[in-house]
Amino acid sequence: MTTVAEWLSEPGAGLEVEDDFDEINTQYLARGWTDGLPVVPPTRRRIEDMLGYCDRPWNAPVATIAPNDSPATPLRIAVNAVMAGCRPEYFPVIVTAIEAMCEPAFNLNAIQSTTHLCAPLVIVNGPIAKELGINSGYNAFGPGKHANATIGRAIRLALINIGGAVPEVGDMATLGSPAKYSYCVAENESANPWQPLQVERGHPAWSSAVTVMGLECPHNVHDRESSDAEGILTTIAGTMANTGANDMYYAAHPLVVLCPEHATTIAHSGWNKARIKQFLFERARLPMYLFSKENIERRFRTGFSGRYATAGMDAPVLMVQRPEHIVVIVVGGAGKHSACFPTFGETVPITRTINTRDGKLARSIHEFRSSARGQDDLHIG
Amino acid sequence: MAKILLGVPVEVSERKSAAATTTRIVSRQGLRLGLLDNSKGNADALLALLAMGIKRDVNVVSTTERRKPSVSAAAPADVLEELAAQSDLVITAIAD
Repeated sequence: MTTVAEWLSEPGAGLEVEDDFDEINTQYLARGWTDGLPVVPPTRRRIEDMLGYCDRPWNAPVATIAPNDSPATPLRIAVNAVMAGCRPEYFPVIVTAIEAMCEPAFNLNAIQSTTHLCAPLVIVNGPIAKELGINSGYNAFGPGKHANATIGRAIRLALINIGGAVPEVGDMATLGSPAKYSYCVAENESANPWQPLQVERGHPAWSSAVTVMGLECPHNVHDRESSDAEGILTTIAGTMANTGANDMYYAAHPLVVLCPEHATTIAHSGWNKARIKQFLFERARLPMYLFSKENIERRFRTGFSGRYATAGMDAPVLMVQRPEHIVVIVVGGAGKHSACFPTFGETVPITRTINTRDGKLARSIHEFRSSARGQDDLHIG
Repeated sequence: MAKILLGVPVEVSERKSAAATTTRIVSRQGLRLGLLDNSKGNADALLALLAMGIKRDVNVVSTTERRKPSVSAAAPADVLEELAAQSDLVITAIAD
């Protein structure tokens, strides 16, 4: 196999259908290859264009995606990215995100197949986020921006088609979530009074990175009255504390998204991220009597016997086990709405920098295109 | 209408295919039974019920019972290896 055209002729790689948009979509939907929405037909030319931003061998797996543990090659990822409507320059972000969520500590196998409604959120930091126009402002978690919508969708299609997270087959979510259609956002670094996420997690400010987290949908925190850090964070801590989350049963790493106005008010109070996390750790707690007697007995007294075996009914139940487990980023436009994101529980955020094939930090997405043109071994199978 | 060749988005796992066709020869002397509790609330009760039914119909010569430390994570490799080594048949239960 040396070209995309030859790959398409291999068993299991190509499907011959009538050259008609409606018929193509009927066929793909019937085979369970979509998210239910119409897809862009993955033609040879579109797959080749997508791989124009891939500087690695096209048929060498970059990861294996659970629960099927199927090899994710750039070729197969590219088919899904085309179907999602991605522009080719998005491809390195998609590949990096898939690599990140396939690291064992992320626990993708459980996130994909659980009855819980979680989905992997992709947070993009750095100059490449700006270059691609990934929304970090108004409605960043909602519709309207091509990069957010299609990068998140490409990853979901890969999770379904390569990983096997087919609803009722490999994805057994009781309810599911709209976040399972697409879940991708950039941090609003220009409105962040503190270090952006990738820098906090040990990478240079000029690097671009992807952080993946296994989360529920955003839960709004509206506070337009509080005028200092303690007030705003008291409201956020109260929102983080709820009896139905998974977080208190695990060493959860919940996400707190501060809107720029809340972040500015908190920073003007002189608080840094460490103090924010310490405050939320101490305040995001509920008295045990708010939980059902069965949960108290089976999940707290038995499951966490060291802490709760003999605890009184007023004893505080911690939503977060350690302050540093809380992830704080800044996203959004004007307004006084922040958000809390409960987690799947048994999952750890993973950050990966966006690197070119030689392992160097990419300064621009176009480095992937130029290096691809300079290498002759990309097509070789 | 003209035909067009398009990319297939699905990748088939060779490992999964192999696992689906794996067979195990059971000794005539009796069945070595393995039980893996996924640690959800009633998994132990369901496993006990299944084991009781199997023992009623089959000569079970040994039973190896293990419990996952977390319902939300895969069983540790050493647990799986032990069950594989000591059992002809392993039942894992998920129950709420």
